[in-house]
Amino acid sequence: MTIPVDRRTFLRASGVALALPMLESMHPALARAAAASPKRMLNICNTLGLYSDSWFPKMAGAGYEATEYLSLIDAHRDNYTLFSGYAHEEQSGRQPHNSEITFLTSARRPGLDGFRNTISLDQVAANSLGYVTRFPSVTLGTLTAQSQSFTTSGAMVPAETSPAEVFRKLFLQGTPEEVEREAQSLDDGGSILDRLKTQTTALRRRVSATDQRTLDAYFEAVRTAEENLGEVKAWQQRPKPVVDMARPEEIPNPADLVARVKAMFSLIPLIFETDSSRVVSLMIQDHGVVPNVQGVTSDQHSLSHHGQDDAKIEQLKKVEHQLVEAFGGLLTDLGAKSDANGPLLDQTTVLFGSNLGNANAHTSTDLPILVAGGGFSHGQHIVHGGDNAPLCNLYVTLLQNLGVESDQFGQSTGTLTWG
Amino acid sequence: MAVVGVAVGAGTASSQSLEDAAKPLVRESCVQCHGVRTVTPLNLVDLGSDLTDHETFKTWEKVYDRLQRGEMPPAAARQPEPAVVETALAALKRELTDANWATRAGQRTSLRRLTRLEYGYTIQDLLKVDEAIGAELATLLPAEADSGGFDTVAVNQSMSPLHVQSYLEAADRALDAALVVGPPPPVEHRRIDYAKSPVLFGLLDCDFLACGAIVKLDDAYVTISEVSSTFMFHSLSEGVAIPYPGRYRVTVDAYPYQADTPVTLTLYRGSGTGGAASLDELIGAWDLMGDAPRTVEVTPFLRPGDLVSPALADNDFPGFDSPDGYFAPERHARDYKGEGIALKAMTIEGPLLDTWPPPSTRDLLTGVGFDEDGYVQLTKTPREHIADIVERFATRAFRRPLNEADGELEAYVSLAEPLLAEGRPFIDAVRVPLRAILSAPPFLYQASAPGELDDYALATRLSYFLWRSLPDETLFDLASAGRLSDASELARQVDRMLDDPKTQRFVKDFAGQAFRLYELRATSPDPGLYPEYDDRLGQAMERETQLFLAELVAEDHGVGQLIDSDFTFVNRRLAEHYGIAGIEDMQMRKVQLAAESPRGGLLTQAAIHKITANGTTTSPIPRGNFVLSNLLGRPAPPPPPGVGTVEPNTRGTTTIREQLDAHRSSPVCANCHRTIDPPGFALEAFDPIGGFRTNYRVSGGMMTFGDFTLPAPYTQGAPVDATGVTPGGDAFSDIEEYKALLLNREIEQVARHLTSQLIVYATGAEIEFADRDSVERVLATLSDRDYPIRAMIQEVVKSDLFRSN
Repeated sequence: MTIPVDRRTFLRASGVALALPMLESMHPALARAAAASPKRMLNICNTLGLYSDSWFPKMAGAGYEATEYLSLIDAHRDNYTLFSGYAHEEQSGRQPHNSEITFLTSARRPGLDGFRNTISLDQVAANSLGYVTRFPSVTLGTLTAQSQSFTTSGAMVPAETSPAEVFRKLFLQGTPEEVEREAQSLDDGGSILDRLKTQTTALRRRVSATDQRTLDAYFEAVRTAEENLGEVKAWQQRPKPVVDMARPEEIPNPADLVARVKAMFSLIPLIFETDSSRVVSLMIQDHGVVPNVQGVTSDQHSLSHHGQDDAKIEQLKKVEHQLVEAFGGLLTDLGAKSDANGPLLDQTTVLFGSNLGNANAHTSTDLPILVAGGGFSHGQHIVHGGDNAPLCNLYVTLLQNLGVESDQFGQSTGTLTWG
Repeated sequence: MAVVGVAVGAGTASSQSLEDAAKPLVRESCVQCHGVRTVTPLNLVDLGSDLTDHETFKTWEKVYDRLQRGEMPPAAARQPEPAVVETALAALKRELTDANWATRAGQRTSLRRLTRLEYGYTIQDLLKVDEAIGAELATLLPAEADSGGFDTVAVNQSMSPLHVQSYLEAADRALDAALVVGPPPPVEHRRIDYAKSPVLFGLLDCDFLACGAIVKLDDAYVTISEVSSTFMFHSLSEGVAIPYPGRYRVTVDAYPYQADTPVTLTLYRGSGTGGAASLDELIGAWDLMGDAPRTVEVTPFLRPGDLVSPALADNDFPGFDSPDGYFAPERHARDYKGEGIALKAMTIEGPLLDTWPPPSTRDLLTGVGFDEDGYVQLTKTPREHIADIVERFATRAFRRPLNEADGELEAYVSLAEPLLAEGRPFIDAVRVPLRAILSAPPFLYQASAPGELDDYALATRLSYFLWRSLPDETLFDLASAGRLSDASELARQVDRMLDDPKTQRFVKDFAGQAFRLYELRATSPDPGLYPEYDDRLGQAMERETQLFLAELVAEDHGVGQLIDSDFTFVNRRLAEHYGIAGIEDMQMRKVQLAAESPRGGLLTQAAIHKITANGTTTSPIPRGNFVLSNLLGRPAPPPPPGVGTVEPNTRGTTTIREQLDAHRSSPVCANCHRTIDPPGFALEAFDPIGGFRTNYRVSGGMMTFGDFTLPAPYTQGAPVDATGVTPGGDAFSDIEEYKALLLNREIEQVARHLTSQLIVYATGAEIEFADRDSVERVLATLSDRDYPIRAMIQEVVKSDLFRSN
């Protein structure tokens, strides 16, 4: 049996070249991770909705007839389940698109009256897994740093939007000078945080009870950041995985919506295959420009407000067609790639959907939701009467499937099982 | 006697007074309608007396408001004796005020954190680095939450490990930018002569869209399409790279080509891979007229990897079916008869350096010398130098003298010791304490004890209010001398600050949040329905509202000008949009509005119309809500769960008013919508991009030309009905009449809301029951003068809410 090393002892140890066995003993989680068959989570949200008539099948159960969009991914039918009639309650926000910040959290009335977001599905998973991988979670976007991942105190985790930068962080080693500089910065950061804790304690004596609570929250944030820094430092000492793929090119033009989505889709299987992270979220954002999709002349947001104009609906479908098709490609890749435990798809729960049920009217009920992989029994269309059954029940099931010991999330009233 | 459970502390006393003074009135005059099984949802029979309970407090507050405004009991019901009402109101007011103070433990604002924006400006001013660096570092921090209130309000702010990690990283990068030693980067002057460009020559006859995309002249190449600027004319395609981050002087020589009307030369900062550029930021726009050549100049902040690209806009373009047009397979650009811009040359010079090492480094490393190569020369021990540097820096960063009792100075200085002991360079060692200071609570939080603010806290509150940043030397010196709290000195400082350009930060941020200007780019107008919209118009809209608000502050205009004014700010582009003749060039300037113009006041500005539309259609509901929430401060309650929404329709078959009529006839909806809809009806006269309209536009669908699909021209739809009746029964036939009603009936409420918003924004705490009298006192000093806005800011700063905590 090895005795876990106190992190402080570790930080005091000088130099950058620490032997791996010591790291292993410090991180019993790492050994656990290698032994068990890892479970993974992937969340993908189309923030401008998916045109309902082309998405939802008419029939419930296993023998449903594939709709226009579903026919694009019908080859994977046995690997996914569709859900109708699920949503979060009270999603009318200050702005009509506010439901995109609560898709993974289910917090009520986003943006209104001192609103504070709650922790998101992926961050619950990430907190539970911790640093068993280099990154507890990876949060991706296609245009801006806005994301759907929120910490316990409601702070938004910024999304990474550059495929090249994601690739660098995950797979590029950096020059020895860069590595040393980063190590130095982490070391300095560690001693700074330690000092900030003592300074906060001193300050705390001088302020009112109300202010003490604010300082306590700060202290707690510093303490956790310090712990994380130790973990990051430990990972920094381990070489990054080498992958058989060149660093992706930047895609500078926001009109290349589909190319940007595909670039992220091509990185996701690599993240899982190298076990760099087990929790990935991607928010497909509103790009605000006309996407270069053949035959499309308006930007996706304008098209989503089609106003029942057939010409616009046709164009909207052209864009969504490409996105759904690209998602099919991702399912193919996740099914084809394997690690020691079998195909990635079997170990990865994939949530694909939208925070909008009807984007034309900004409604957030009867959301398009699909769950793929993860070892669930698939092939069905699960229909809940009405349009507002708790989606969080599904989220609880997804968390449990990931091994998170929890019977509650957000607005859940139980779990959602099917089979 | 008490019917509710035992309350403790402040609640106990409250219970008794409420029981004695207010409950009899409620029993006598309210519960007939507000009872257990009555029609109204409000049940006052079971209303408790424990004012520490949030819901109970809110209900009593509502009772107080309705009684005090004389709205309840309704006129048709039997009225209570005036003396009974008066006694009840007095008791309620006292109890609600006490309970309010008890709930917040005698302190209005808890430690308020710097917002992301304030962090950026503070870094800029504290480290004396470029504005662009401060702004960039701010984006490393977690975004402020969309809480529905100002991001300056302490209770809306969060703190997380993510914040702490971001502060450490941002501080690291801030010091990278501020602390630069060693030889200066070479200043280069690069000139691109487009006429001699082999790249453009190679593209002259390429198969682009039709044939050729540019026209060659003796001294220039002509650009005829906006699209071409993504791969031609930009600095990177001409082989000019930016080696160092910094300010660069960029000039462009150009003249109009075949132009009968103004064509706009634009300049973008962008990035690129291969040949294609992404034009990320519009950094300049100028009109070219007649045959006149023009040289334009800007000094953008550029980073390695950036490119600069000239482009054209607003060129009149013969139609696709015109023989003079261009985008047809058999045509060549040289046969094009439309407008373009002849580009002669672009120069890029920089990085522009005043001194070396830069002012940020010299200022930060106080007492340290530099040799001729720009390396530090110490005059005492490194530790002594570091102690000097840290003391000066921390005092400014913390906005107060360091606390000796806590050993604050030593706590930070000693962080450098391990590095000095390891023999690491002085610059590395000094960074560690500075980085710690930039992540420390006294830097990140604005601290002030309950009660009256001391001079330092006052300087901080004032400076963050009007400059969004830390106090300058003058404010800090006044605070150390204990003179800032002197009323006349304080007023003098407010005037000085409002005359300083840094006040623009306040105007921009306040407009961004209070009037939602930050949401201006949230949607892109539909190119088929609103082809006249582009970046330049969007930017002009934003500037109009910012300049307008800045003018109200600078010139001390009355709050009535917010509702209606006889001036606004436009450039040529926005003037065309507004139908104002005789405005040349792209600089924004103040113009007088003709009497018959539908413009004047905030509600007629295109930015507000765009923010309250979805890019394709308008609806009176979001626009009505804007007037209620952002101008009048009387937001409507949210719709009950499960109500339907209006499905937008642009087919021209039904208008939004016809769709809304349905819900107005439902009693459940009508109660609120009789208040929400009327201002929205008046604003229907403005389309989603702020154009004045008499008819709706109807989508024309799509048309194709060979490989291209384009939106077909829109057609004229049903007429707009901008008439309405206010809940008070006043009818109006258009926006002018609606504004007149607002001016007559609501000016005090507009002033009250603006005053409240300024106080909330400045103090970081919402206006609660106990604060209302203070707001009224501010209003009372302004009521005989049409509530002038600069004076309003002065009075807000003077108020007890601002000067205490």
